[in-house]
Amino acid sequence: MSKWLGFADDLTTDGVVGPPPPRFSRALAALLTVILSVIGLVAFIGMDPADAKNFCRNYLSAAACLDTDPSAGLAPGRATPNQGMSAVAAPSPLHVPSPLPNLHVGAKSGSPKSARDRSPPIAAPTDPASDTDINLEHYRDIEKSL
Amino acid sequence: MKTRPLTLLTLIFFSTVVNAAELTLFNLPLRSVIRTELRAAIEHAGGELVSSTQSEDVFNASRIGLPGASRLQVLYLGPRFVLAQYQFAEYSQTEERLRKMIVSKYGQPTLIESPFANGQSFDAQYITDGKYRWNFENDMQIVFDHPFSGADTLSYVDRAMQGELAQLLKNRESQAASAEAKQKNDAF
Repeated sequence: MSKWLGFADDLTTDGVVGPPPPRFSRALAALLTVILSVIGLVAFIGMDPADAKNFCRNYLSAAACLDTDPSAGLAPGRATPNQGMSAVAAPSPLHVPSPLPNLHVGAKSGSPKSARDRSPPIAAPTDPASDTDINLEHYRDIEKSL
Repeated sequence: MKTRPLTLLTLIFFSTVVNAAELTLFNLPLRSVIRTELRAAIEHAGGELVSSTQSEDVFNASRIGLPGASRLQVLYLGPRFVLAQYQFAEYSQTEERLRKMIVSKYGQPTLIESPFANGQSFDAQYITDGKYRWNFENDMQIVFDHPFSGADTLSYVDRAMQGELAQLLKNRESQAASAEAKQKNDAF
């Protein structure tokens, strides 16, 4: 064990200490850096879009977060949310609508629209309880086993 | 000799990655699965849809092939998956085989909630009553419940969504009680 840690390897039987123990290996430090970077990268790439958005808002600039907003309009030529990663990219009804006024109101039909204007209108606030028809007693029966 | 720490660190790194695997059911990642996909996969595996409501699908699971499974219940909150729960026949002779299957796929439980489970193996001939948990990434969990009385269950749970559902139901119940209390204010 002592050899693994690089200590006391050179202590001779007569108590004479040899050369100083090796310092923390540069290769080990480099490996740790690479491992931590890979973990961070994999964690970020694997994030749910909603989580990524929160991460952006908390730690990065607001500009870097615009493209991660699933409810935001898509730039021309980009894939629609339902292509490919439909389960991840589809806007959730649990998404809290923006408090900003709806810019679609009053827009003339046929007038040119920006990419954001072509996005589906944001759903009006709904009663969150209407998302489920499960009653509390039924849920508690299930919850006992969890 | 210098390569030993490197080897050890590499092994630790890869074991961490393996333990933090994504939780899937019928090869679908439960964190992001949508209802239609999961329902189709269950039916393809032999589940028969018995009933379906806005937030719940119930399947007859006897033909899915999991030993002793009689029912599979899946809960959703809106389009999001909350939990899937297998219910097993009470006093099933196949319980031990089921536990061995679970261990072969997921290993021994991460957490055991049982007062008498002192170092017992989950795939032993008998296990004590309690709950056995396996943790996965994104706050997902598998729970095997072996109660003192009643049927065993095996649940695949999105903990975050489960908490959201529980809170929503409690709030709705409180609001309903409050509205009823206003209506019948004179009665009590």
